[in-house]
Amino acid sequence: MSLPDQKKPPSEPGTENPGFQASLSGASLWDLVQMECLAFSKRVVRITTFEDIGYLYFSGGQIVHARTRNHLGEEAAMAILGWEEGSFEVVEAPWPDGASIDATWQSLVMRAAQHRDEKPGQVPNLVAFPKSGDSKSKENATSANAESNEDPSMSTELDSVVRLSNEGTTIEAQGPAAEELESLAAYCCQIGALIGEALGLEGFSGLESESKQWRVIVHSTENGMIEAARAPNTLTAARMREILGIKR
Amino acid sequence: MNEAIVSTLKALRDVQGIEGSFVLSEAGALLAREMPTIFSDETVGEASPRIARLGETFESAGVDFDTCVVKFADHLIYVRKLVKGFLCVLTEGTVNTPALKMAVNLAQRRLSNELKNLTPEALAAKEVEEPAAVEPQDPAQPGRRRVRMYRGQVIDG
Repeated sequence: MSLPDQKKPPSEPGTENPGFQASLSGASLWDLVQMECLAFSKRVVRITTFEDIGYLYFSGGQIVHARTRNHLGEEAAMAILGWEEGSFEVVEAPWPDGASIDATWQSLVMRAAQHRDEKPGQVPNLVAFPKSGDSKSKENATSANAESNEDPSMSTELDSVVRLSNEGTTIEAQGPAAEELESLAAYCCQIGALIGEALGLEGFSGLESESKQWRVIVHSTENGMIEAARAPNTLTAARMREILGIKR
Repeated sequence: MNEAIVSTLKALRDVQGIEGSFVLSEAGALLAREMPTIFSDETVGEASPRIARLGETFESAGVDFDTCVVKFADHLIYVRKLVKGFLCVLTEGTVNTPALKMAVNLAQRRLSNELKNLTPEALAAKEVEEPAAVEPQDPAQPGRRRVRMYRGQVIDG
């Protein structure tokens, strides 16, 4: 499915289209979906919970794309609509080449509601941030433990980021060195595991390289995916790990 | 084995958490080692060319290779580029990283000086043929996997 004229990032509220900004305590994520779709808005909304981060892409009165750390498309949308607590804000984000969701927003919300009905007693508690990037938003994001939930592909501190399946399929690739990083990450993970096997060291989890100019982290996640990022050496390894969500 | 190199490697053990170290040529030949005896030359030699290839991999991707930490569940292998080779340090996962880096910095200067003086023949002398990445077999019992041990415990098999 094509997604015409969607390469251009959506405008931030208040930058191009003046209007109200809101902080809606107790608002449901489903209310947000309804509002955005009925308004035919074209924007990306980031949803942050204590455990994950996701993005819903609205265009032409539908949710056309969604992604979380581990899911894309409809699967991601369903996961996000199932989240029961967190916060959301409009962000600038690159648009995908095409739509990844065919289902209507009504159908997605209905299915999410059905899933929720199977778990009674859960009340959605989503709070919208007034505006991405202002100090208040950052405070709120910190209070929601968003620091450990940053999406690497959205980070401006990283030069290039890739995410691969264990079989080497590219799930995500961004930045000028994405192509080289893909090959490097996939190969290094195999070599690293073989080095461990030779020396009897279990649990290869990745590697970190440092040179005068660059810092590279390759990380093999618990679910078998490979994440890799390159950043200027001025960024600390600890900060890179934090962005990538690596504990050690 | 070059005594000066081995002496430098022994000094690395002053840092708590460092379990051993070895030096490779750029081609991945094992030049010197100061590793626990449980790691045979063959074992270290099996890993060596692959460690050297990590360096090549980074450089082919346009990233200079100065240091690299290969991470495992309970251990790290800290690799430092030398003149004409690599220093590899096996540590516990909980090693004091700043202390490790300082110790490696000091060792790197001495080792690079030693490697500069080695002839090409000496640099290639102990190259171990890299085995294919196939399931290891116990030669005594064909068809069964070789049992790997570390610190007296069966690691796999």
